[in-house]
Amino acid sequence: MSIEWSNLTQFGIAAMLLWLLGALLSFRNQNLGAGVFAGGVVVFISFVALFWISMGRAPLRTMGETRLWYSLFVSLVSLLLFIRWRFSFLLPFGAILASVFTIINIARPEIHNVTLMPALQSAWFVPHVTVYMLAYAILAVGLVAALFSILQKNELMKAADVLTRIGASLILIGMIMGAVWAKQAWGDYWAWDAKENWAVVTWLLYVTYLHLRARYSAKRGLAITVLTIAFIALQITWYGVNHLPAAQKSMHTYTMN
Amino acid sequence: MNLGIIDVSIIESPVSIILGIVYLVALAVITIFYCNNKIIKWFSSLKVAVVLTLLLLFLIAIEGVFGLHLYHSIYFIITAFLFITSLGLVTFNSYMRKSKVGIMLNHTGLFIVSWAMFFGAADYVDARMIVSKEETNNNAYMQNGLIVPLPFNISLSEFKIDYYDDGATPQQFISKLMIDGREHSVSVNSPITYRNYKIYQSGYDVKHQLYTVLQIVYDPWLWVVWLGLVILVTGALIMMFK
Repeated sequence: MSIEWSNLTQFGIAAMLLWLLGALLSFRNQNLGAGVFAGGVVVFISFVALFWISMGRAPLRTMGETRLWYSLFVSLVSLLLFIRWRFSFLLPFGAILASVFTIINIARPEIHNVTLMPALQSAWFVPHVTVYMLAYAILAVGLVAALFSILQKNELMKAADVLTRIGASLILIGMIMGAVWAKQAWGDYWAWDAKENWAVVTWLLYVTYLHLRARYSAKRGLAITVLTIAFIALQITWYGVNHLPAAQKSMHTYTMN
Repeated sequence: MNLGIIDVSIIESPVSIILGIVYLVALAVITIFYCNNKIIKWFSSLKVAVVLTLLLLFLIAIEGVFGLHLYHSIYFIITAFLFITSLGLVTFNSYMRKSKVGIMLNHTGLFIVSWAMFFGAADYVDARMIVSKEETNNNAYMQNGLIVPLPFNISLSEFKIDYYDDGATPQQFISKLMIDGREHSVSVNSPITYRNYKIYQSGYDVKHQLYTVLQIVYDPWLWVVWLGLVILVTGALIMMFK
């Protein structure tokens, strides 16, 4: 059986229906909702796994392919957090965000090339990108938790702190794996490449948030503002950077030719 | 527009090593004997740390938008120096106050990495070298045209390109080199280390494949950076699971 991008239509729609149904059911029956939602995650993981096997390489190279992982991790992380903390917003949020990225991939499939250029053939490639995808998903959930904490004064801000701590650690680990890889492939662990610069800016913003929260826990508004700016920086790091003047000579721009 | 780009080569080794060590000793002395000084207390405060972090990330963000090589400008160097000093004071202090392990490791790791990047910048050599089958060569060239004479000779035994099944898309570029009479193989993502120099596959003669282009890197501070990164990863893992 050969799985191609076009098969995402069937797998994606099935997964999205299960995510949305599970999210709705979770308001009535938490366990049943989580179970149905988990079905959607399994369907989506199946697609990624079969797609990976069919192509003979990790689907981690183009924007479209990294969006697959974002959908996967957003849905998976929301599910795990829901099982752990039972926040009612988690499943609807996970379902909508994961669906948005799936719909983008179904509606606008980019041109995909099965071969991988020599510089990308590194053991560091998959963990570098995957850890980042995981961090992006967790930090997205963290921001939502912080924003919801404005409406309802509950434990959500603590969840935001924990999620940001995990996300910032993952960003750091992803960045360091990139540095080790860069030393192998391009000669230097840090090249002031546009994507590297935005990655470190993003990390420093999250670190600033954590420092503000550690010492001035009363200044919640300021902390949430920094967290929001950090999330915007994250979007620039992820895809916005490709459109900046500095990206013309970036080693991270694979999709432009 | 004057961006204040300066030439850092004035602090090449051994000046860089001496400066770096003097700096560390100064931080240690300040931490031990002047930790109650008002200015030192203020400079190692969280407020100053946050302001310097924001200033630094603002400059890096501008670099990230325009790619102006700001990291060689005097403004960036001063900001980075203040940032590293503030971080260094906090790091040294955390050992005096016996902070939590995760916090200590994160600060220590980041300090070691940025200290090595700052003081070691001028010692980093990145040069290109064209190697052909006909002649043995030991001259590499920096981007500014300076010749870097290497303490060994290289010649090309064979250059080849491996293709994917389609016969058109390159899978790997491989140079078989003779270095001081012994054969070594270099390909993309697989550099070799020879007498403190790392040798990378960088380019080739597109028309006739008569020569290969190697990247020659000399980075004596690298092990310090690796040490800092290992400490930093350990700290990050503790922070994640705690």
